[in-house]
Amino acid sequence: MRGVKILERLLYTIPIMFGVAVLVFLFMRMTPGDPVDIMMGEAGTVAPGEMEQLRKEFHLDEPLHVQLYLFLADAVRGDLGYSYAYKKPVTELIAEQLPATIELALGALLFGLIIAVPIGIWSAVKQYSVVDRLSMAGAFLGVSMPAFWLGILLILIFSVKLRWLPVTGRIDYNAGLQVVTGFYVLDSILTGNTTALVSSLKHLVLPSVALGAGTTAMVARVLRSSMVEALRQDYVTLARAKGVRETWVVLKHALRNALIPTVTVVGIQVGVLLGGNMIVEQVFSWPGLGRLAVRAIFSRDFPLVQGVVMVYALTFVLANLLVDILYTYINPKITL
Amino acid sequence: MTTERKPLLEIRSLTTVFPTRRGLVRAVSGLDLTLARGELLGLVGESGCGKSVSMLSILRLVSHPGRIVAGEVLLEGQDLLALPMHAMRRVRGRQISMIFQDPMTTLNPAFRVGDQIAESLRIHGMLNGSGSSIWPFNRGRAEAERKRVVELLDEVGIAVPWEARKRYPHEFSGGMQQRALIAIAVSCHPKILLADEPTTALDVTIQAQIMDLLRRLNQEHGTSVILVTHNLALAATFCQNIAVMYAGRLVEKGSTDAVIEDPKHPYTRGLLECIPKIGATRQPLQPIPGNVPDLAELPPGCAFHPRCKQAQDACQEGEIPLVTLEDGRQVRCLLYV
Repeated sequence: MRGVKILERLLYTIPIMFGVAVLVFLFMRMTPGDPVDIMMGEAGTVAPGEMEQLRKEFHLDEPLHVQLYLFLADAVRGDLGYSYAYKKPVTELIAEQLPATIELALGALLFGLIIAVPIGIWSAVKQYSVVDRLSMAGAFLGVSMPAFWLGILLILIFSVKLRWLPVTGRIDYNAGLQVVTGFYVLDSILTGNTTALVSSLKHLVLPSVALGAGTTAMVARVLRSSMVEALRQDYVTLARAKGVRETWVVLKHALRNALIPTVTVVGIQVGVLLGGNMIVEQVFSWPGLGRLAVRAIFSRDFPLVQGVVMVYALTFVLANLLVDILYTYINPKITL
Repeated sequence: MTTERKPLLEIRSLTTVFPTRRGLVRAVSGLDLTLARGELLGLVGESGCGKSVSMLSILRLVSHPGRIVAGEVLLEGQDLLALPMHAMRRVRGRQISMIFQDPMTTLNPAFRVGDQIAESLRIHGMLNGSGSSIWPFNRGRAEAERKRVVELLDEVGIAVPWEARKRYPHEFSGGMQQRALIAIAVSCHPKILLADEPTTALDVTIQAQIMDLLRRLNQEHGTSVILVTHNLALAATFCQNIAVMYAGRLVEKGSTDAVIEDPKHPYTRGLLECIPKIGATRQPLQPIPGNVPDLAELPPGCAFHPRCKQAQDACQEGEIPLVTLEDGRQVRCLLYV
């Protein structure tokens, strides 16, 4: 039953992706600036007729609806076009950069959960204690601090002053990592390269913290308030009346129920971490999708922007589906 | 033989307070109560008179910021209030169990009903002498556990128990939820069952079934029951003895017959006059004038005197003692001093 429902939900993503494709196509065409102009501006002198030829090559001389048709027809076949700026197929570019983005998002999520979950639980159990007040003040700071500013601050302290961690990039060039999957941490483990593992982990720390700070704060606050709520419920009193140890009252009876609203927030945050990392990737020169998207937008690289946005949309939709599936396991009252 | 004579549970001058913005509220104030083996005791009073808090105090479950400031709760001579927490946990659910008022919110919505019953069995090591632990470790024990859970569900009258154990609380009706809660409560054969308004949230027909179930458990296992209720008629049909509370204090205690036939305390009398009688000639019910006093601002002397028809000037001052009459009845009223 669950399998059928999941399949059904996966089928829903098709019209969603279609809508996203049309919208991003139209929005890109609406932004001022001509890709060929920008390209030629960089090239310097232009031979007569060359611009027209380029426009023809990229089908930019065709009417809008024909362009849209060509784009969609290719997209259905899994071809997202050819990047003007990189002179490479968009799918290839995305495949190269996506692992970096996912790795960073997972790093940030892991950092966020490791910090937020204990803090959320602890603050709820010790409501209004010093620990609670301090962590909630910290959470407020975490939500309010812009990621780029935190990123620069972290680089200043941990890279420039203390020299503990590298400033930018994903790995030291001399680590000698043989790329298998594109996930450097995973690749280091697969190839048994300890130097690369240490190096890639070191590179991952600061961007993960900068990207994950907001998530940490958000999750901690939501978990705290839902734990406070859960700890007040009758079923918690029942658990105590049964003779359940206080640790289990909190970690089993209350937490299981408090997770329901928390998972929703974590799900949204997964989307934010995957799609909202343009600035952090820029600050740390992290060679991911975000940086790719920024460059593509500045150079009006229509196919690349379309491709990246569609990948973002897809990860959002899939993250949401994943949350909904997870939900049915946590909350028995809900089915897909 | 002396141990047999000793009451199973003896509460001595139990006092539980809640600090509030408007001062210290004495929810339970110097409560004395005894419960014999196999006794069915009704604890009656209006809402807010401290019945529930007394029950929670017995198990030391009064939630922060409330706390027990004085008294003793002796279970077979041992003071529960002096026990360290780990020993107290072995009393909860094993020696003394509690059934709560609202079954819909008392079962944990995230866990299967069967697992919630099994948890109690596991905590108190009720399955073939295995030590207490939270998770099942071996197949034999899991099997024994399933069997016992089904037995318990069957005992409390849940149809198709082997299916029902896999259900979640929201898939149960209110009556079934309360039955499941009773199954949890009796799973470890406690000596005492504290039933806090167990039928208030249920239909009248279900109410009768639940009360029958409690009576059967009392008869078959000799479990003593304290039935907390605001419904004097319910207590009268179910209990051997009745204790009446008002504003955190015990005002009258005696055998059900005595209390119903010949109520001594004016408050008990007032309560009885509020019960409509089917078949009796139509006569208006006599409500007790006034309202339940604010526990933060109790009137001096007898807390009931502002609402009492027989109040004298002396009722307004000093502590009114609990007097024991010749028939063993206890009354807290100046009329009998």
